[in-house]
Amino acid sequence: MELSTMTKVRAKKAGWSEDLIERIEASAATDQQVENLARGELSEAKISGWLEFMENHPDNPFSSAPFNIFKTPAEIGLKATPGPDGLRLRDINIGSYGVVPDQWALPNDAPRGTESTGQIMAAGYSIFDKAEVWSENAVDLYEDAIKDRWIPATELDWENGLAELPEEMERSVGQICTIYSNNGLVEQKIIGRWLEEISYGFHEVKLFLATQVYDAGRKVEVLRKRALINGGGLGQAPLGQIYRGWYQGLTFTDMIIALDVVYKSYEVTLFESASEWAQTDVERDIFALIAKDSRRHLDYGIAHLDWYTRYKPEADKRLNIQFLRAEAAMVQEMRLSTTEREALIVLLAGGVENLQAGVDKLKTLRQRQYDSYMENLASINFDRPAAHPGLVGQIKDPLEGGIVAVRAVAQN
Amino acid sequence: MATIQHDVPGINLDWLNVDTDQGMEIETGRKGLTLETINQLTYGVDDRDEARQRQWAPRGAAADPRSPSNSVQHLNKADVWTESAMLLYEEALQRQWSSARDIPWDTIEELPPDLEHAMCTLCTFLTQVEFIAGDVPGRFMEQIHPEFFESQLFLGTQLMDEARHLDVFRKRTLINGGGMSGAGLGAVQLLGSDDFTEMTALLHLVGEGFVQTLFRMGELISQNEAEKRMFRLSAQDESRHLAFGVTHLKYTVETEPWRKEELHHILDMQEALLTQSQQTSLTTNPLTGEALAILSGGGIEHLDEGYNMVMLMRRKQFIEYAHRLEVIGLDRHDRFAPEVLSLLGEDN
Repeated sequence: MELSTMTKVRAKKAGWSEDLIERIEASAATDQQVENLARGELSEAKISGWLEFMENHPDNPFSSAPFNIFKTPAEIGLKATPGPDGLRLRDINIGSYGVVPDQWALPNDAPRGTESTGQIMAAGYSIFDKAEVWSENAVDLYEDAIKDRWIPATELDWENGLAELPEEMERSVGQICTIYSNNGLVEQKIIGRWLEEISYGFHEVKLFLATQVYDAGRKVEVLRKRALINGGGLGQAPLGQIYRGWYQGLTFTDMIIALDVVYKSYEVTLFESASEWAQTDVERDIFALIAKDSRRHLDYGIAHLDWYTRYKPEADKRLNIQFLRAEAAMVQEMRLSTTEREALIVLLAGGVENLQAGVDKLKTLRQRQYDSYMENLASINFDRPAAHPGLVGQIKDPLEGGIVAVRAVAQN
Repeated sequence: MATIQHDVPGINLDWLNVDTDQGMEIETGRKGLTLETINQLTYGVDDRDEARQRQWAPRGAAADPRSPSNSVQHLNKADVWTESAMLLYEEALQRQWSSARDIPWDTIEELPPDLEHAMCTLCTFLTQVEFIAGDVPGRFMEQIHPEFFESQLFLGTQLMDEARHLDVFRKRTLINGGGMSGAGLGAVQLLGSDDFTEMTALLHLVGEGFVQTLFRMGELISQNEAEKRMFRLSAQDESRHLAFGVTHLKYTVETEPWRKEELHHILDMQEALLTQSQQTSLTTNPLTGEALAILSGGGIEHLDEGYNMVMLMRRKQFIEYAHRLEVIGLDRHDRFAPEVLSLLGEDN
């Protein structure tokens, strides 16, 4: 077999001697095999050893191995450098592997940075538009979530961090835990549903969303445990109108606005204010930890919104209605699902003897939640002058809508 | 609690007296406060085979009668359950690891090009397919009724594990100069699963089972401590996924024996693919098979040894698969394809 000119050129570039090339040409090796091995710039010793294998084991299935592993369409020769926090995802966004195009072209699960070399089986991805999913911080939030991992079963002081509470206080804590545990369960479902829509070019976003699913599951778990450990039990499940807001998002960004921008703004502020209404060290620790988790989700939501407004055509025509729908669902939940606000009132009041004091404190909390929401939007210069009036309504009167809700439950 | 009198209009504290169980007695043990510990009273799952309500409500809580129903959820426990869900979830939380910090990347030194390219080829395949194993459970989480939430929580940990696998294998391709190989056919066919139990059979039992065998042989193909750790930790994760699949299928076979023939048929089809299509298995895929032979033999000059190791891996994959079927309660010896029987050494 005479090697092709190009293969000989490659062989010489790899530093193979004329003797070796002659030996190759006298062997059963094919030009394709040799060309690929030459691409790999393997040593003479390696090639000699391989020829010996071929001579001694002509019937071995790997004697006809084509060595396409050396014939890659992807960039080679890059070496990522770990940083002070180890080898993070951002550290491997080097060369062509770090280029995230505005439109992902591949319909399958081929990783970013390479191409399919054979047949392509297309998946059912529907999102190929970077503007629909991207945020500059997903790559870091993913690693931060892993770094900040915690374990409810063994890292909270269940033995010594609780205290016996008056019955109405214990039931109120349980009520808050019931609501937000349930919210976490639905949060997992809605994010899980969208994962298979996102094409593989935006793997940082998929990986971040996996951490949000994981965090949500931990929220489900820890709040359920807290509700059950101190004698109180679970309370009434929330109405779930907010979930309709998440599910009615027909695009990924719609859903993220509802979940990770509007809802998470309110959730994070509530959790971060737990020192005002939590009753025991365990609750304070729990809510501090899940607040930190939720803040990553909010950070993603805000950063994605920022990207979307910059790069999605007609974003300005789409966003107002998306926000109004999301805010409406939030308002409806706050108006009609009254157990959350009433449990907070009891906790903020320190009991049932002076509920008006709890109402006054809830007003302050609702103001803070609204202000945080607006500040989150302002942080990316996103103006929201016409937010749903019900959000402000909940500040003026945190009990707004309650009587209608009570009547509805009573009739049932 | 007695009805509370107050003077604030618009507040109704009836929820303080909602009829849910109170007073659970809990003893935390060495493993802390686990899901199994709180699996008691009406909060427990043991006494229910079907979901009792359609609304969104945590198990044991009082549903809001106005709450919207969710129509996609399985109401039948056997469709989604495993008795090991709680244990596997808690174990997953205990065993999370960081590819950034827990892999000793500094132990990777320059390798001969054949070994570097072979490892990068293997890792390209793995980074390609691993998150399909995240996308798939993601869809099925929605189908799990809140009363069987522990299965959903476990799948959430699998999502996290698969994210980490996509991440760690991608990192390996880019730390030592090798870069990625070309992408193969991948695993998107798994996205075609329509039923939870079918999904478990194909993804957990077959897909992850076969990969786990390989990861557990990581010592044979690793060239440094970083790779050994990478495969060891990944194998640990896959063991949980596999356990979920095996125990769910076992639960299905025990509680709904009429589904046995359905499961046999699913596995008939999948085994045919495994034995007849090169693309579907790490050990037979032309690229990864070659890579495994190079790695386990120690270079292209030792492909004879490498071939023997690959055949050993392949045989071990099927032996372990057959054992799992026994655990599940599916005797397939009369249904295995000749190629499978041959690998099991039962073709006489």
